[in-house]
Amino acid sequence: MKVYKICDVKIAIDTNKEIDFLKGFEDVSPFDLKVDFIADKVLLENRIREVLSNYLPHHNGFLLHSAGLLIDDMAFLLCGGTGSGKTHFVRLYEELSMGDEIMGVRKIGDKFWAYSTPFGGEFPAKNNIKAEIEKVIILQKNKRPEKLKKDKALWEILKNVIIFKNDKITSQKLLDILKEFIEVVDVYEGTPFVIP
Amino acid sequence: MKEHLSLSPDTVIKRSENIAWQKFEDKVFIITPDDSMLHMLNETGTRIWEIIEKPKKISEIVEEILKEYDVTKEKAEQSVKRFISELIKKGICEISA
Repeated sequence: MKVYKICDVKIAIDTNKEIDFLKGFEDVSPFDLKVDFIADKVLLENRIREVLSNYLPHHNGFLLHSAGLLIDDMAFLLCGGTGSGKTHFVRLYEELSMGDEIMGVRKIGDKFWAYSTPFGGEFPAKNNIKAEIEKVIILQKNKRPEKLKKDKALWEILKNVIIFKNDKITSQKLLDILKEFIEVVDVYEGTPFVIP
Repeated sequence: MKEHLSLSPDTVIKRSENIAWQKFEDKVFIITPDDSMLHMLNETGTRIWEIIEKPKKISEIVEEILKEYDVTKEKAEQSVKRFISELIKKGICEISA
């Protein structure tokens, strides 16, 4: 049994196989959640994602399909579908990367924090780090970033939340925390940086 | 196909119980957990959503819409039926027994 910490959630995994994609996420404290033994790495990764996506809404959080960049100790989350450029930006600013595929988000106190996750991506996070979220950018090519109206922002974020089949209570908690998220965090749409 | 549901003015409509929703500004965001689908209602859809907070007949919904929007009764009835059919199809609303 090994215990890992992802998004400040302790997950015990009962497996004898080496789980290299969780490197950097080890923790030794008692655990909250248990993931069943699954030998296949892809299935195991998927199972942990599913467990977390259903667990986090009950603990003021969610998983967001996004890349994360750590700039001046603040997290910038880049959302967008395949081909939107998430990985491209992480490749350009690899030293700032918190991951290029899935970020955890949780509310602690009155602030929202981004968590790196081991789920890859071309550039899965190498370290288990968290940072307060500065802003979210919905990637759109050749467009100067514009702040989205809150209702549009909520829809765009919702489209990028990792949702597995769950129950009404989990879905309701997810919508509740997303509403709070949108009220606190600004969401922009456009191209965030000048590409060299 | 449920697309051509026969909704009469006396058909009573209610919100489905197994959905999660949240109103934000003038829109309603809905998750149907059975299929993990996301839905967003526009301003008019949100108004209809509010009207059916308690089960309502189609005719009652149309009446409310006529009070608030500049539209003919025929057009309002047609639009309400089409919208409600769509919500039923997506599992967001149901016909009350």
